[in-house]
Amino acid sequence: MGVRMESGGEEVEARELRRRYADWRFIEQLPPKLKAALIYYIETGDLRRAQQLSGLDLDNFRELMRRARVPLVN
Amino acid sequence: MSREAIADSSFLIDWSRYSRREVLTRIFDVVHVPESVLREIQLPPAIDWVAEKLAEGSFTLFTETPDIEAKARELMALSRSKPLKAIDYPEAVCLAAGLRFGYVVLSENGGAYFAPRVLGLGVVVWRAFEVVVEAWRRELLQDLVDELKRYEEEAVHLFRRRDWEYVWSLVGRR
Amino acid sequence: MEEVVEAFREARELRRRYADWRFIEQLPPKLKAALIYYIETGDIYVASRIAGMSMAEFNELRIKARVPSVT
Repeated sequence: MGVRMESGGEEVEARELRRRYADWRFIEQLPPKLKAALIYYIETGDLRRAQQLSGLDLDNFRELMRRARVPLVN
Repeated sequence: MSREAIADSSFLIDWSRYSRREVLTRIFDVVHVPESVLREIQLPPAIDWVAEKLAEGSFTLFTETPDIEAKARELMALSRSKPLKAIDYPEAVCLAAGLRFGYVVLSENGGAYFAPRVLGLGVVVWRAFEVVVEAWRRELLQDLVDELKRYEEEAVHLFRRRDWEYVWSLVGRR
Repeated sequence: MEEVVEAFREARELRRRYADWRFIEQLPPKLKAALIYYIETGDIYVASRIAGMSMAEFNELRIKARVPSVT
């Protein structure tokens, strides 16, 4: 199982998946900081940076992602 | 392949939700959990499962020594100068320990996953995907496709087309 | 060796028996998991790491939970 670098196409695919599965109604109702952090994750796939933006620890951020139906896509 | 692994929070938080999570301790003799990773684990099921595995001895606490800390900070600094997703201290500790001791690093952090390739590190990083495939190879799991779908459902995770193409190549169908 | 194993088992039994389980059940997940770990193993260092506390702080928690320290 070799590791290949992500191509631009793969990044687009991952972002599309995150956007498609997200519960946007739930996300829209969140406080600005949490909403911004989730959108950041959806757009970039950068879990750590999104978590830092949220002000939550990783466990709670991942829980928020689950509640918002935002899948982790690597 | 090393029989020892070191896991970061992104891996453990999701893996603990997988109903077949026990296969991990059948693949690895011991899974190390850095103190900085343990600090990040707050909620069930992860905190309960990790504590249980520590008590049973299949996980062991990894205390960061000054040389590992220094290496972790060096890797963080290096990663910032490259096109990598953010790597924070706990996953950097895992990479540093993987480099030093030859452990397989378990992480769902995209930066950590590609770090070996981008930074030229001699360390193996596995996501849950690679762990499930390995468990299937060892016949600890039966149907690879079903198990990956189960993981996706239970951990709220999605595998990409490239991963699924690899799976189809293994199981010989589409 | 058998003596050591027996002593370990006896210590664990004592910790389980004397613990205030009603108190423990109401705790936040991390503290509860840490106390359960301590009850099972008697290992205060790792338990304190699970709890995210210093050993002294965890020791205070152990006392509040009526979990005896058995040597």
